Amino acid sequence: MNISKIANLRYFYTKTEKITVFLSFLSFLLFCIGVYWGLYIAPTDYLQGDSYRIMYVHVPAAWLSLQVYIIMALSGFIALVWKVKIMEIASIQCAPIGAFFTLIALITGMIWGKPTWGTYWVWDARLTSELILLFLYIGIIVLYSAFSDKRQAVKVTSLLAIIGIINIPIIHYSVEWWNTLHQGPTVTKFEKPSAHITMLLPLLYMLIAFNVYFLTVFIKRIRLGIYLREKNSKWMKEYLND
Amino acid sequence: MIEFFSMGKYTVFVYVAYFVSIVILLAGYFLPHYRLKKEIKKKAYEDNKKQ
Repeated sequence: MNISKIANLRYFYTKTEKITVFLSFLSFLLFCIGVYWGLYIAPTDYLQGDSYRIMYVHVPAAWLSLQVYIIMALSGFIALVWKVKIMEIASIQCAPIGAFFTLIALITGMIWGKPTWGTYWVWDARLTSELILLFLYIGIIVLYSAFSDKRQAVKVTSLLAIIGIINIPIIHYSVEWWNTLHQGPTVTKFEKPSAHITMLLPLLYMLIAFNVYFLTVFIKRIRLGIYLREKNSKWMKEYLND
Repeated sequence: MIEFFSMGKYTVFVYVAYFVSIVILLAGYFLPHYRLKKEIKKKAYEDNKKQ
């Protein structure tokens, strides 16, 4: 597939309508199976009991919150350097998606923390850096809204996203660099994961489901961004009239 | 099947966490969906008004 074709706003907008419908159904199906697997099929943990089942939504959401930020910063970088229009749109449209994933990670983490740690919140390095990530996402959204010239706005938000990427390794390695209440890596210890395979598989499955969901919403948001930018163009009017 | 609904003292925590996640995921999906529809309608209305 030709990348320059996909980068063309008209091509992207007109060709992705049916794909989003297919991806929406796929995400729904994957989530239904994943939730059933996580809540019912996966065995109960000998130490944490059933509260660990929250991990099946918490961990993928936390991973996606970092992944989306990296995509946002990379798109922002490409938009700044090569002035690719679709990357400008992709970069800013990542912010609300990332904010939603971060919010899920924080809320579900707090809910899991109560029965496990005995408290909803501690100013622990992992939790605090994840909260900063949420503020970064919100900051980018607010900053973008404050500009009337949206192309200028993207330049500023891309720059902020690139600077803010310093927070990503801090979040990831916080459990190793500092003595935190948050547990260390479980799944990323590839040579010997701490979790049993029967508990690990639904987690990896949910990670795929979250990624498909992200792709669906990402395409939908890029289409929205293209429409907002191109609504007065001739091709958009022709396409909508067809 | 009964285990699905009963997780002892953790039931509330687990179901609240899943419920909140589903609500946020649905909001994340439907917000751009309805915003696009709304913007298209708004533009069509403005164009009709001009004519």
